[in-house]
Amino acid sequence: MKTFNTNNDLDIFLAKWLEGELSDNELKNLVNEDDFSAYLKLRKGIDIAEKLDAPITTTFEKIQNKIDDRKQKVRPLYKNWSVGIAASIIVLFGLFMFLDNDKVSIETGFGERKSFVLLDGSEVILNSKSQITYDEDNWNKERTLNLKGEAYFKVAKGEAFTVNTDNGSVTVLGTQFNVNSTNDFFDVVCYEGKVSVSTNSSAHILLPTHSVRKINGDPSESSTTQLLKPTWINGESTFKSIPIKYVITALEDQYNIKIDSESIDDTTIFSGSFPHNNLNNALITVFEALHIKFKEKEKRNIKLRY
Amino acid sequence: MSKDNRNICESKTFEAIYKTYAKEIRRFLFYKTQDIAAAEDILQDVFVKLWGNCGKVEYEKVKSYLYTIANNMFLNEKKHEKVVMKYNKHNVKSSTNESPEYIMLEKEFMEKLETTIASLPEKQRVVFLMNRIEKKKYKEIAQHLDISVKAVEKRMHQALVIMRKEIGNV
Repeated sequence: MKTFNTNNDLDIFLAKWLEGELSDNELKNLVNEDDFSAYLKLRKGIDIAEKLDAPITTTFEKIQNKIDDRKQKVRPLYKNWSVGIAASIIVLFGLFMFLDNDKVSIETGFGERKSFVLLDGSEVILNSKSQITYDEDNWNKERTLNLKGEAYFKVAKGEAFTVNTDNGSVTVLGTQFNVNSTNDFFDVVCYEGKVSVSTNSSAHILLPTHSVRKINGDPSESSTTQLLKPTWINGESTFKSIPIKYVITALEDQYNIKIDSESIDDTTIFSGSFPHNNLNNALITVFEALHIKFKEKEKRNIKLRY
Repeated sequence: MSKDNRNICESKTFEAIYKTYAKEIRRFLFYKTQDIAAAEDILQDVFVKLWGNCGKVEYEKVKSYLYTIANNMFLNEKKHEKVVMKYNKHNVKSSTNESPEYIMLEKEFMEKLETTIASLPEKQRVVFLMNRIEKKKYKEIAQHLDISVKAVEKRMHQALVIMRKEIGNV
């Protein structure tokens, strides 16, 4: 190695340089060009060699944190379950269709939604846990069907179209309307045309955007809607000033769960909506607004309390 | 030979895989990126991804899986960097081939360097490792070994001269 310096540190200058006591420029004057770039590379290599061999445990902690963050975004397992159940119901239902020729029955399971066209071209969308039956042979003479649960109808023009439910019947000519008859809850909304509703105790004529509701046999021509279609068709259930117990039933039907509402006042009035694709979000949306706490006691059993 | 079907989704197996391969993957990523911090970042993402796909990866193929993911992530990163560089075209720093960020540390060079360090004569090696790994100042090393500071510096200087010779022309 040739050097051009006469100072007496000739046998230690590299040590001085590595420690930073000698600058790169000073080193440049002490060694030739090849050596200089070799030493620069050596210094960097030495530094990196340490880092390449540094412990990896702190990095593992960071990885764990990242994984934990991500876990919370993972969709809950039970959602996939309901899809599985819904699919098997469709298959079973398909079998029944062929077995019974003139009495047609169409059913939906938990969290399921089904849309179909009737013989006259009328469209029906059936919400979850609902059932429609009608007599296929008689359909041309009389457009009448029976409904349990909730459905949206877009009726083709023609003779009277009647929907019978346990809570009353709805008759129209050509129009769009939604009927919800679940247990003792009865709700009809007219979206287009004119709808006539008769229950055991009352009769109503509904114009577009109007609705009639009967809770526990007590009918009231209630509010109007700004919507063109019920929101559940697009994967959301919307409620306006209704006792929470009906919202709970809707949640149960949508998600195939059991909700224990014993410790809360189930007549509390609720306005709002819940999504159909995420149980946890649905529970949060409905119950947090009312300051009700929910807890999954066992699988699919949810306990409510204040 | 019977197949090893250990489940990567079990945290113990996952951690064991990490302990076995993390260093070599980090090394691999460093040679690609030439940036130890970037290598660390990608290393983290590689293992987060392995965890996410733990059910789909066979235990026996985990090593090649890790290398493939690491390489893909490096390429993605590079693609992104190119975009960023294009965007920052105006503020590119003028750098010479002597500025430290310009020095490439190839796999071959690093391996040679490491064997050279390991094969340094005892006296030089002890001083070198105390200084580089234990981060001791020359003065501290001198006290520790009960020799003069000048003697420490001499050994350090010699260590570098030997390394320079060993790695040849770079």
